[in-house]
Amino acid sequence: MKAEKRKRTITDIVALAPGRLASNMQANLEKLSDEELEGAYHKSLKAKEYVVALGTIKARSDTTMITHLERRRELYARLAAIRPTAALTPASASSAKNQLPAASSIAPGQSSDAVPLVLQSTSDAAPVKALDLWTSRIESRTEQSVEQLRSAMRLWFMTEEHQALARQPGKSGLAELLDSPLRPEIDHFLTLSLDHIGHDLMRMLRNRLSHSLKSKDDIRAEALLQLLARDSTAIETAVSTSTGSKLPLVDAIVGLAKMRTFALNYQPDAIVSVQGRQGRAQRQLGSF
Amino acid sequence: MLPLFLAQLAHEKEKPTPDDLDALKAYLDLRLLSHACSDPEGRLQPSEKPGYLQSSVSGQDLFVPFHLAPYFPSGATLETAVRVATEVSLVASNPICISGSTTFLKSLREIGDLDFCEYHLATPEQLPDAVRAKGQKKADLALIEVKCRDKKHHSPWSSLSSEFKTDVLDTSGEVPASWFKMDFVSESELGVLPATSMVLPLGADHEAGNARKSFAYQEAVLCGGGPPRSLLRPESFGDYLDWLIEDARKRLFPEDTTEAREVRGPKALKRLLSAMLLLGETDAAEDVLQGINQPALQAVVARGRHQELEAMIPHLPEDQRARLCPLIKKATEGLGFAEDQVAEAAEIALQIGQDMLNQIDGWMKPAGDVT
Repeated sequence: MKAEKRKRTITDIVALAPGRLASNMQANLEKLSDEELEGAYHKSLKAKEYVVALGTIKARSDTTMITHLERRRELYARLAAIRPTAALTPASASSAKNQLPAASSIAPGQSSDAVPLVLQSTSDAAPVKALDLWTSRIESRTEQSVEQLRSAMRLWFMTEEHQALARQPGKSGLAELLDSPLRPEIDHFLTLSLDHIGHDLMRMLRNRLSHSLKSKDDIRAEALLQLLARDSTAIETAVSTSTGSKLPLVDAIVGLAKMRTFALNYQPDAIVSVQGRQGRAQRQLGSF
Repeated sequence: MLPLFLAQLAHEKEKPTPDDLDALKAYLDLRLLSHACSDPEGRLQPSEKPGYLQSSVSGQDLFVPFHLAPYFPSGATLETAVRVATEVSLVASNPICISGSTTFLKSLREIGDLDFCEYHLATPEQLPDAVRAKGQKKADLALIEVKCRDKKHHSPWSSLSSEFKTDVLDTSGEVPASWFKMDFVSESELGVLPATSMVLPLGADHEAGNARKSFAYQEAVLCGGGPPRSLLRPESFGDYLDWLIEDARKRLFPEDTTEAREVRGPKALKRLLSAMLLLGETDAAEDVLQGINQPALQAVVARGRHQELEAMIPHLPEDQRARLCPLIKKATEGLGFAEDQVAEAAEIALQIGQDMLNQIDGWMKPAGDVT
């Protein structure tokens, strides 16, 4: 079979392959001999035309397919917007004190200032207030970067008892965390981070933090471990020596590192209410 | 679409023709080509058994139905699943299958339990003793219940030598022994999980009798000498797809059910995920998989699993209870979702499932109804 015919035959068969597996099928077809490829082509015609010839099943309509997929994607988005509102222990699950505003409550383009704080005047609220204050100063904040921070904070709450675990050297700590009920929140955080983490930051983290780490996943795992272990100093150092990156995650990580200090030194009287916090926030944040 | 045509035949209880068989053979060969090496390590290669991809794990041959390949577990997860499968297996030479959600372990973040199916090919007389041996204490696997002909047997297993023995062996014709189910609590790197093994004694015809209690298309087979059943049977393909669609329909549009919405939604989505994979609708399958993996629905699945584990606790032997209880309790501590959130997630799952089913029904309309 001439190369061009071979190519055309493969294209014809691949056109019938299920969407995302088309490239896999192409690779497998390219391994076939001419005779096998010819056989596959005839099979593709047979499988395609057999039922149509019987006239019993309507051929698939791509337009209908797309309409259904689009409709369902809206539903999937609604599903994704349902985030845990309580910490993971029964005690805290029964109380609203650790509740954070859900991602779904932030409209696109809306700043976090418009989001009501659930937490008020409890000592546990310190990191959350710090978070809220801090997000208000991110100039380039987006819905996603705000949600990223909120996710990080939910992890902060949830991982109190897992800190020692996260501090374990190597990956065993992470493996245990990933098998724990924290997994959904960790995945959410990583998904958000994934979308925003830039190649520059990746490279930087790789160079400065994890010479021995090879994959993107390893880097992410390392960053997560650092975050969970509350030991953001290394990341902060790395970030502060970077060349002025404005990536939201850089901001987020630096912010978390700073929040740690802020939360430790938090004085409830320093922040009276959520309203009008901008000015006070600036003063408070001056100490970061 | 050939799969829907075969499902329609099965639904209307019509017998397939030799032409249907030829068409299915062509279809399976093509799907095998599209799915071969689609696992991360590219280890699943076309086998000589139509529709099956083949690999080996922990020294055993593994046969995976083509459509499960992209989501099938690999590496350490697969090795653990195989180890648990071997532990629940009654007879080492029997083919044992990784089944149900366990075949999606690579992609599903939460599963309700580990599902296995063992085809018993040897003489049935050894079954009662083999089951009794499973009741003996093991560090990481506790037999909780044996169910045969609606009778349940628990530790200390005295009824296995009498009632169970009579029930399991008292059969005739194409069924050499009655089928039964064993429920375990398994402790492994996958966590503390309920594990279920369905034991199906087969006669000379591996597609007859007890074989009808399960579907070859949902099972990845660990065995020597090839899988006991064939995927190249239009009626098997059609029966399975028809069952997936109709079971989803029952859960999505129930006429009379006590099953909670929180259970119906995720289960229907899992059925439709498998249906979409068989139909080759990989985009829709990927989407529904992402939906199932959303934290709110994972919490629903985890809650069901926790309830099942808690119900098993009273049947655990005392020393195992002392050891496993804290682990189970730890795993059942709060899930971080409020009741109304779980209800909302379940409602959205139902809506997604209903839309998918409407889409499939749209494909099933006669050609003359093209709109």
